[in-house]
Amino acid sequence: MTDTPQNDPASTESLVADLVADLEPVERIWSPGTHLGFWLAVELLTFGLVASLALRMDIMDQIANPLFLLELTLLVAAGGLSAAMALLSAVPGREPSTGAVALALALIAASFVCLYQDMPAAARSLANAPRGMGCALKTIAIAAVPWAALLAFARRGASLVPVACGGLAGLAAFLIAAATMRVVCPIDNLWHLVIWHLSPVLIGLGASSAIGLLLLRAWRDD
Amino acid sequence: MNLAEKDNASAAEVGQRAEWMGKALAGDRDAYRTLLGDIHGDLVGFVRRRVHNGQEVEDIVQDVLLAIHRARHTYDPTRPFEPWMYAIARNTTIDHGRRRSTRGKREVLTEELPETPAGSVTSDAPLFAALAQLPETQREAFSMLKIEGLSVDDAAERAGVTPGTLRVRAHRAYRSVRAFIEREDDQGEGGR
Repeated sequence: MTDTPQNDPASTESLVADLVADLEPVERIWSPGTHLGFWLAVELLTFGLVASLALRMDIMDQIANPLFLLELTLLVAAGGLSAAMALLSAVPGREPSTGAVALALALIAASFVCLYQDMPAAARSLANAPRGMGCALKTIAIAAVPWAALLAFARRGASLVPVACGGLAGLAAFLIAAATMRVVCPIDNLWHLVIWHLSPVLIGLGASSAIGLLLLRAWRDD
Repeated sequence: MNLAEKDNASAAEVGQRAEWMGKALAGDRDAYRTLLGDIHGDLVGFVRRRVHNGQEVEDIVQDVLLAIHRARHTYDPTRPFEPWMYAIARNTTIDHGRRRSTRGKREVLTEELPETPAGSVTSDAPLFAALAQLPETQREAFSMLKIEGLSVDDAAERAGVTPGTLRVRAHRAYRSVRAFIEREDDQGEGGR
């Protein structure tokens, strides 16, 4: 290797020449908004499929309950916001602000408050909490396709912080899956919901962060 | 983007860069060459404010240019170019600091090297040691171009990638090999 910049294959001039030589017309990724629209369509289809198969028997009574509706609305809003943040974080310079993350957390907290307020005292007892491994597995199953879709959309971008992008994608899909499970599972017990419906959200968040780290940094590597 | 960075790029320059990048996305190599040349100085200044080791600045700037190249499909020409570019530059600089920190820890762990068996030292030994620590794709690119002497086109065909991708892999390999050999030399001189 010689030292003159023009001949030194490790020089910046040489790199620029290589990058220019490598340039081909490139198809831009869809905007985060378009990706979000497609993802919401995937969520809607998933919800439609689940609702057509297994709605809780008392769903009409529940829908008449404002706290139940508010709880679901807040969970879905937090999920949608998380999805938007995941997609934005796949575009350099458009990473979500701390305020947006705080808003998503506040929506989740408010949803939990609604859930708590909606539960009669007897339903807040851990001793009365029915087991629900099936609920946890259903939550994961409902989240799976939207989660994969969101990761696939994010992977088309260039995430600078893959852990956060992956984590937000997992949070989005699992929050909406948890909301969907509320219209499927007839058990209204606080601890059942916390342990078997909401803990899968945390598991999804952790798993998705780890997967994001592996999957969403590929754009940088050869 | 902080105030100093904003000062470096006037509104006209920012618009001009977005236009060059827009043309580059359509495959205009002249616009791309002009853009990369134009942003180089700003990137050097940006990195220099964050990294105090002067030798590392150009390495990081090269990584930023590579990252910009790889992420170019995410740039929206209707938006300002600077926030996109500086987000990549900031992240690449942070990554470099992390890698350096990890490497430093590893080097402490391997401070006491095993004795080299007699007769195993050749003039190519540092080169092969440097190649051994490269990712497979970079090692393959380096070997085909510099050891086997293949042309870029032939090497790219064999690797099943575009000539440009092969050049970029080779470039990364050259830099890694050079940095590895320089580190080895520094340690050798330090040990004397």
